[in-house]
Amino acid sequence: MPDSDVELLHALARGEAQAVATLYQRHGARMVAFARRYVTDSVAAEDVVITLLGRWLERPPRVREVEKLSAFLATSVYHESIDWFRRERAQQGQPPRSRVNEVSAVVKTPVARESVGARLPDALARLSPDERLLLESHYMQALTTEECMELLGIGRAALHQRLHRARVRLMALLSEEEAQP
Amino acid sequence: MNLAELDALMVSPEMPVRAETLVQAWELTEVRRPNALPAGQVLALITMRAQAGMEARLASAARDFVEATSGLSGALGSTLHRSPTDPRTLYLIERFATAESFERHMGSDYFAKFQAAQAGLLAEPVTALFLERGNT
Repeated sequence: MPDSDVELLHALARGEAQAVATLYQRHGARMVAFARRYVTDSVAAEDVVITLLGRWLERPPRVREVEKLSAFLATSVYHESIDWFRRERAQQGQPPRSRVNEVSAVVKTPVARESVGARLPDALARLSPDERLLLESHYMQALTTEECMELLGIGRAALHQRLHRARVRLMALLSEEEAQP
Repeated sequence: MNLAELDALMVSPEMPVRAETLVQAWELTEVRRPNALPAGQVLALITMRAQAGMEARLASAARDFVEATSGLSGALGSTLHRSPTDPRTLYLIERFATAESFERHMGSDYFAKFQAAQAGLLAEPVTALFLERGNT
C-alpha cells in the first residue's frame, strides 16, 4: 500500500478497496472523533465513517492533484455527518435542518427562505475570514466557542461582541441585497 | 430583517462551511482512543469477484447473506457494494459488536449456505481485510 498520503488518495480515486482499508486504519480514529463533533454520539460517529467507506467503494472520490489528505478527510466526514443528521431528522418527521435556535424558527419572517439561500453566498463572500469563522461556528457548529477563542486569540466577551457584529453585518448585507431589484 | 429573523432564516439555507475552517477543526480534534472502533468490535471488508456472467447470481446470494447477517445478535451492520470500475467485484462491509458474535456469524447456517452458493460463481478466492488490526 502507498506510503505517502498523495499516493493513497490516488489509489482511493482509482477505487482500490485496499486504499479504503489503509485510509481507515491510518486515520479512522480521527475520522470518528471528527464526526463526533457533528452528530449526537460516538455510535452515530462510527456509523458515519463506515457509511463513508461504503460510499467510497461504490463511488471513488475525485481527488484533485494538490489536495491535502486532511482537507479531503475533513470535508468528506463533515458532509457525511450532515447527511446523517438530515436522515435522522427525516426519520423523526422533522425538517431537514434545525440545530440552532429552534425557537427562532417560529419567527414570522417577511423574507422568503429560498431567496435568502440564493443570496447568502454573495453576502458571505463580503465578510472577513474571521467573521466567516464565527458565523460558521455559530450556525453550523464548525468549531467550538473555545476553539474560536484560541484561533482568534480573544476572550469569551470579545468573541460574543465580534459574533454579534458579524451577525449584524450579515443581516445588513442580506437586507441590502434584498432591497436591490 | 432583525437578528431573530436572521437566525431563523439561517436555520434553513444551510450556511456553507469553508474547507479551511473544517481543516482547522480537523487539526484541533482530540483523538481520545487509538482505534476508530470500541475495543472488541470487529470490522471486516470482504472482496468477492464473480466469474464472467455470474455477477447477478453472486449478487443475489450476497443480498440474501446480508439480510441473514442483519438478524444475528451482535451484528452491527452488513452492507453490500459493487465496484464502479469492475461490476464483477462486490464488497461486503461487516461489523460485529464482539469477536464472539463474529465467530457465531462464521459458524452460522447462513454462512455455510453462502459459502456453498459461491461454488462455481467466483473467479478468484474471497479476500477479507480486518480493518482494526494493526491500527496505529
